[in-house]
Amino acid sequence: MTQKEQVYVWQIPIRLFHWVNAFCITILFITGMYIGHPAFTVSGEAAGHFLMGTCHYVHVVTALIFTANMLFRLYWFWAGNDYAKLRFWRKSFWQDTFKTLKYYLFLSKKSTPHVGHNSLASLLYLCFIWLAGSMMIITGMAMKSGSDPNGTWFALFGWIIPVLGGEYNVRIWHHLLAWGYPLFLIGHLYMLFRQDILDKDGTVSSIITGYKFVETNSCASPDLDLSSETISAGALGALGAVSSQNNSL
Amino acid sequence: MSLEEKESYYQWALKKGISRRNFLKFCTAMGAMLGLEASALPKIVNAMETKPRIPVIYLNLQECTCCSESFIRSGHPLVADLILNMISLDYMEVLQAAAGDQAEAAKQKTMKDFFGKYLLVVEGSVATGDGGVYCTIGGKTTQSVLEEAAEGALAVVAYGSCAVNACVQGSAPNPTNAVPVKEIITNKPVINVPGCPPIAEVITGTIVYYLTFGTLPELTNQGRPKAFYQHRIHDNCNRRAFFDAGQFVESFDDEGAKQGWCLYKMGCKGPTTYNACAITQWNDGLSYPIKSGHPCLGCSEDHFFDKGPFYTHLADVPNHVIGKNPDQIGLIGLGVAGAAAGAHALATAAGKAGKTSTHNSPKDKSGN
Ligand code: SF4
Repeated sequence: MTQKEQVYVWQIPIRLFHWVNAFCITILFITGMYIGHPAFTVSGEAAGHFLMGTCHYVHVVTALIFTANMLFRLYWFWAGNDYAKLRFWRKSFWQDTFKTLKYYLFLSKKSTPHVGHNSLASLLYLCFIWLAGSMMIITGMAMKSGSDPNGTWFALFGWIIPVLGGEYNVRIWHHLLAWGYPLFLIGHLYMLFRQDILDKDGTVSSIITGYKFVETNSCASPDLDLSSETISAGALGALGAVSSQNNSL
Repeated sequence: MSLEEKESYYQWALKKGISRRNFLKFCTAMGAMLGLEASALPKIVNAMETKPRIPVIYLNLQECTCCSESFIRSGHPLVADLILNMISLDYMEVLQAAAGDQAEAAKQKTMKDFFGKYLLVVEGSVATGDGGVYCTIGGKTTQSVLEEAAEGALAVVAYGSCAVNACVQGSAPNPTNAVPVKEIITNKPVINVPGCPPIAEVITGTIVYYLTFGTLPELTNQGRPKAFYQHRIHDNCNRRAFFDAGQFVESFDDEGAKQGWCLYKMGCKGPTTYNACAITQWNDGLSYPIKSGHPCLGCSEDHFFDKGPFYTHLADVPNHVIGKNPDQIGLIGLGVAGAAAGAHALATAAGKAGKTSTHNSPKDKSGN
């Protein structure tokens, strides 16, 4: 039996970002798939329909929300609490990555307790959400802006067209990277449900409530120093502290 | 004869019996084609009346001559006539009467007399493989022919996709190691006029612009004259309404094809192709591929020949090496990831079960 306490991990802006992001990606993926593969064809006069046009419109508007959301999150890396940060330039980040990798490869039995993200998860976010996401934004904006070659958008994003060797390649990259999202989703869902089941730390519900449950004797990951906010939140959380029996399976 | 002694376009036109009215019409058409304001018209007229005709050397390197065919078939009869006569085409193997040594002498003379003042138009790519043996003219490799002629040129126009991106002969595996003009000529302005073949009016437009303003026309970020290459075919396509409506041809003989629906699903590359086909069109505005029912192949885009298959919308990446298009790759990736997650879950469960059976104490089951 281990004592657990509640720790406030995900601040409201983080949770908001997460759900806006998830929502946007879902819409973008669905409309994007239709744009790439218009499966249904409508009949009658063209003047009576605007199916592709609507999909395209929704895709672009959602893309703009998605981009704004990403920019906001970028700001929150700076403004948010310790769990909102991604310090991949630190040595400890990479040490933790390898430790976590070993754990997931069943090479070590012990899971290092993490309150925020483990470094492996952070690395996946860095690749799939940030690097691939930026490429999605740049390639998408370039394709959008091509219809106004003298406009501001084209001036901002048009450079990617010659860099990738023509707009057709821009399109190919946009398609290829889009598949990164469902790929990421599988890993993301699997890892967090597994984490929740094995460690009973409330990982799944934390993205709604903001709280995770952490063993009192080892509540911080090596690279995270607890901020005062966390500690006070932790004290607050003692109210609802749940003692859980990990052997209750 | 120096350049100054050459007659102007207008003098030439008068000699040909072209009326002043038709001459002005031509100037207006050119101004419109280049997207210039009406106020530029007097400047164009003035330039055409006073400036001497630019000498042009036209090289045919590793190519199929479809660009030359396009070049001599400009739509508007006056324009067609002018293209051939407004420039003083001093060397062009396909059209000139002279052959052999005589032709070579004419080229040498132009290069000497008008050093730094002639325009070099290049059709075809440069074969650099195995010392350039795959294409030689008069015993010289294409590279030396090009370098020699480019030496005294005021600018080089890479005319056609061969000269811009090595086109078909440069597609994988590129056996002759064909390279575009811009990789050989790096110390001169190179104007890219891609297309297989490109539209003839671009050459005339470029020359008129140069005469009028003394500079080369504005280029896009891919080095192409902006007046012709800034818009996508898709954005000016006459089938665009069907695209937006969601009405697509599914096969070349279906009802949609008869109705003239959008060719997107037949592999149309119009959405990613920057060219003027949909605006100027071909054969005096008669038609262009999409209008006549065939999807755009994207012939003015770099390495279009590698981006097949032509009749599916997404190309295989990269260059058929994998033989799958991005969506197929994505689905395979998804399958693999799903299977991996499943296997990992099983392994985790097995690990837990194993632990339970070996150490039968409740404390050890925690996994913590
Ligand atoms: S036919 Fe091609 S260029 Fe025209 S609207 Fe359809 S996809 Fe676009």
